[in-house]
Amino acid sequence: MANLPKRIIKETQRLTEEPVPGINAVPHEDNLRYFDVSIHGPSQSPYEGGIFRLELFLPEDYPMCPPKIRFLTKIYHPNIDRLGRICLDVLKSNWSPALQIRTILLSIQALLGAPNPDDPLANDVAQKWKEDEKTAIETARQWTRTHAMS
Amino acid sequence: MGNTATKERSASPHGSRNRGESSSMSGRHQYDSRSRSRRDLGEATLFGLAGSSREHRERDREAERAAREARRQERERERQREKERSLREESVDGGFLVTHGVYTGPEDFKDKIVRQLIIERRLAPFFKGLRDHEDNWTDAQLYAAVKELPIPGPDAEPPKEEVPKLSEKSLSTDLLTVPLAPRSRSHSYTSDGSGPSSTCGNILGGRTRSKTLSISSPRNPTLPNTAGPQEINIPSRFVEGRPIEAVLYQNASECPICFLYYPPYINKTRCCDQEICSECFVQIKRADPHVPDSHDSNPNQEPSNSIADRLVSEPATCPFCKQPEFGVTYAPPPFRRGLVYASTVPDPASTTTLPTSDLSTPSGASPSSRTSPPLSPSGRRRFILPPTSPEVVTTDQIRPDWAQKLASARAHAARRAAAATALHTAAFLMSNPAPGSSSGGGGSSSGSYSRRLMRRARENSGNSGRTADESPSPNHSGSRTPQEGTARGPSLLALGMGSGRERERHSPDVSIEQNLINMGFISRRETSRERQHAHDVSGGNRERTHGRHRIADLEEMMLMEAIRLSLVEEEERKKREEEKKAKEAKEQQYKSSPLPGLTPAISSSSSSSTPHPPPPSAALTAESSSLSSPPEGKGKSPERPQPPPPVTLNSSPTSSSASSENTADEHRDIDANEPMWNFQSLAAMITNREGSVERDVNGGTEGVEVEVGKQGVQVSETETVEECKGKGKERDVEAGAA
Repeated sequence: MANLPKRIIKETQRLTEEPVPGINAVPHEDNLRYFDVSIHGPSQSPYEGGIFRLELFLPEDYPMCPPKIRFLTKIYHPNIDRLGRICLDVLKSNWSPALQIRTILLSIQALLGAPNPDDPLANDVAQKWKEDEKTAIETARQWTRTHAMS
Repeated sequence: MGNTATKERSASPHGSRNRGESSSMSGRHQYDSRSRSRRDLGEATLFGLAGSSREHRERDREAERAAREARRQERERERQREKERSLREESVDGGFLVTHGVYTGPEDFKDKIVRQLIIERRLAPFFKGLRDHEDNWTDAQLYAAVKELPIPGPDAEPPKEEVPKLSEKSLSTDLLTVPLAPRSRSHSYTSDGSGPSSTCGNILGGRTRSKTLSISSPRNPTLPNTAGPQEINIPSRFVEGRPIEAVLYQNASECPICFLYYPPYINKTRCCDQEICSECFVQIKRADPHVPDSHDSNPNQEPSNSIADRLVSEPATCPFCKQPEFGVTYAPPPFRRGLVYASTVPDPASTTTLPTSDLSTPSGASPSSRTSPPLSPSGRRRFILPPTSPEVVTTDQIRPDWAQKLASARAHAARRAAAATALHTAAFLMSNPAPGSSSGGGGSSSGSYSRRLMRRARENSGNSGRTADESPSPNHSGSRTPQEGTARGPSLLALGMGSGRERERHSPDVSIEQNLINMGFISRRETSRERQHAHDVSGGNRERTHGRHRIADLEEMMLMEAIRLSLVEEEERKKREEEKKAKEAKEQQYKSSPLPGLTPAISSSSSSSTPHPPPPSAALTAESSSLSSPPEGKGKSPERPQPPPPVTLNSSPTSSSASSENTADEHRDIDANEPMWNFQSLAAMITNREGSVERDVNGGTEGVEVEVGKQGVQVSETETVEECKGKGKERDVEAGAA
């Protein structure tokens, strides 16, 4: 950790100095590349009111490769699988070194507000979402209540 | 020539070519000797004697790997040494020619190209990035920050230029020119845009740079290219009496990627005019060759099953605006310090008088007006520069080996696929006798099945060759066969054909299912002989089945060998082509400054090879999907976007049996005028088959391998088609050169 790139130091600083509303990211003391993240479910979505915990890790090549992010809180979402892995283009092939922790977390928050069942990661959820959106959304709301509101 | 490791690293085009040749030659030699021994061995195997050169091969590979690793490490060390030297001795406008280690990973860009681009003021030098910066810092504070000294108080005195007059004088008298004979001007290779593979050899060119500093100035300005560009060093680190660090970093700006502070003279993206430091720029590159994402798959593209065909390598996109073909421009500061190419100086004959008059005054009007910025450094550009624009440096330019990388990734995938085909067919060969039928019938019906598969494959290759209409011999993959085996071939073939026809009567679906069950065998590393042995014992009538299995085996091996040979040849051809291009480019360079007319020819031809045309082999695709046993439970794998979901035999036996019935009918029609199957040395193929099976079992799960295996046949076809196209391409290039 002695040689933490300036970029990571500055990003961390800026995250604490000017936090994004509804998003919180704090690095571990023993590993400054590892962050505890919490994201508030966006309003007018089935995740509203929930606080979702995630883990974020900045690999050695960061920012040339994307951070690794995973949901820790259970969530019912077509683009997030049972293990909490997220299907989001900017976390994979569309990553750009000009993106930052802040922007990527905002993207995830936006993904909660706009599920995309046509590019699913959790196939069963996406199926539900397509066939019977109302029930799916209701399930998502229920999961939010049981898992993300304690 | 280059015997020492350092020289080898410099890798003049000769060096690299020789290395390539020798490796390919030794490869062939190895192959020859191996096949010879294989022949002997194979005969032994035919008579049931066990023999294996497997261990030998294993050891060879091991040694090769170790040697490669050692070479790589040596290169790495050399690069490190060179870097340290450069940091000490060389600079350009207060920046450096090598990175400062903002990124810690291995550097895979071509440092020679980058060096040259920097000296030509086409790419910003590697300025030292400041971790902190205040706008109100004084010269002394700026100087300290750059030198990584503790920041002094605001009233500290900045270092004074020591006896400026003297330094100016020394400048003019022992102006240091470094003859750079073999190093080519980057202008000639960078301007040909996307013809990278042809040029990488050149830039590696002159490592034999003599370090003796001579005062010779180019007497004959008309021959700058043959003599190589001269580097002139302007060692002063002061601009108008102020330390260059203070001047540069006075209005430092932050690189939006590494968050370090740099002089305002850094690169701007060609598309959105964003700043990016050179340290970050050299990190941005194409992603490794990959199967395209489902998101951006082209709907017009015919779905092709072959992984090798689908591998793509997309040019890097701009990190800020995602514009493809990322490139940057550089607007240098108005003064010149450090290394300058002599030929960029307006009047090379009068170099001795130049520094005092021209270079020490901050006039932007002189030396390298060739790299004229699109606008003044302060003004924002409002338009997008095309990637081919001469002032743009793209990521591919500093990593010209991407085409080679893609080609080798494809070849690798194709090789794996071909080997997996062997595995796949082997699975069919070792079927159990079907319950209810005689042992001979059960075993051989599977043989006939695979025979049919082969024939289909060959028909297909013939068709695709013909439709592409450039192939002089449609059955190319099968027709190149050494002579040795033919004498023995026919009799065996006759036997095989006879029994093959007999087998047609049996309904194949039972045995197919049996085969699928038997797939489990593949994961075990038995030789097929051992397996057969087991089957035969259970099946009784040992002699007969044994013989038939052997024949079917031989047929498979022949197919495999044919595929393998065509792949090997294709690879060699590509290598040759690469060399040729490199040579041509080099010659051209020496003859004259770059021909603008050639540029599009090269770039278009090289880019046209990138999207592989999907092979017109729907028939085979259909058949292979009817055969396939898709791997279960693979979940979300990278192969996710495979468009035609293969039909599972287990789940829909009716459909598959119907389709195989069809093929059986077709087969009977065709059988009569079927051309004779070509024989490689039979013995050679036995061992080869063993080798290929063995090679691939290591590769991955059996399901995947089999899946891939079916595509192997197709791969070889496209390779053949491409081969023809490749020849056409070569002609194009030649025409362009002429």
